[in-house]
Amino acid sequence: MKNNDNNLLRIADREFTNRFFLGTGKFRSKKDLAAAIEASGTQIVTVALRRIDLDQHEDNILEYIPKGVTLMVNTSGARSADEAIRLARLAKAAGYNPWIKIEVINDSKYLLPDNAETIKATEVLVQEGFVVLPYVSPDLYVARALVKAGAAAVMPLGSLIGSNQGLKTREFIKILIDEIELPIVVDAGIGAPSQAAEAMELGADAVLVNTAVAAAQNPSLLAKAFAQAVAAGRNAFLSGLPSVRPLASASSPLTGFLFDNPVPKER
Amino acid sequence: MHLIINGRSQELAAVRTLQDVIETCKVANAIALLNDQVIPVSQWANTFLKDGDALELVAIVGGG
Repeated sequence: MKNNDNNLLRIADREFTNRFFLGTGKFRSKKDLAAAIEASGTQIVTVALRRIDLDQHEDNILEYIPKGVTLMVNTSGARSADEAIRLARLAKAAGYNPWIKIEVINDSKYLLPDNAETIKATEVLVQEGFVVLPYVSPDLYVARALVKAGAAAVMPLGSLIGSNQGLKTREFIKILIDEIELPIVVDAGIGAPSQAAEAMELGADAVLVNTAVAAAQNPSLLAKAFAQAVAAGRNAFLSGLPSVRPLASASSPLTGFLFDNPVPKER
Repeated sequence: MHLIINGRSQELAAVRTLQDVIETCKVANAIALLNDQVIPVSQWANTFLKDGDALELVAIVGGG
């Protein structure tokens, strides 16, 4: 967070003017995805790697993602550091941009990330020249280990993936914002633009949303709203929000009222 | 030729190279791994397969 005095977000060797990141999963159609990317102006999207279903022809999702948008391959499907490392190496060998979101999940009920395995994978992949953005549960020690390992950012979850529960981890994200020098990208569980704005007002550097946009009735309209909310939240943070007060504080002076000392009526 | 493609045993007639398999399966956008090694697209036509080879045909898909 502390690398920005202005509105430009720097991660590794890239700069972003839009702090809204978009995940590309679960869209009902790839046209919806393309429209959401355009409407939000997002400059970075996440994608995954899967075996091709040979019985079904699917459009190539890359045709729906404009050339200038940074592609960040995630390691979804990885249940261990080893599997995450293998997926990252596969993406790099296939010629993709070596920006990797490390996602190591070993539990299908909560989809919570395995912080310990994520740290291990980060250590290895940074050494191999990847730009690593690890997805974790917000924990100060874990974040410090990621800084030490050379991560390019830290991506703490707001709440469970796909739950739309919002910023349940607010206080713990605030600790990371205050203590960790890397960009903090809140990722997972953000279900409404107001929640994204809240994260940005707290001082987060960016917000990543997938499910809320993909599942909306009007994905491109919601994607636009999210981008607006993220920008508004960032401006609010930069503007220095006034503090909360226990009592009222009048907007206009409490003197000079028109009805004090009225002129006596003529008899 | 007997191949293991995406974990499934398959008999493919008239294939000699990785390029042949790609065309048969109609997966021109694939990332192709032969026995765990990524084979660049430029090498597909030069990569000759043998019985029992394991192929992974992988794609970039939507994800969060």
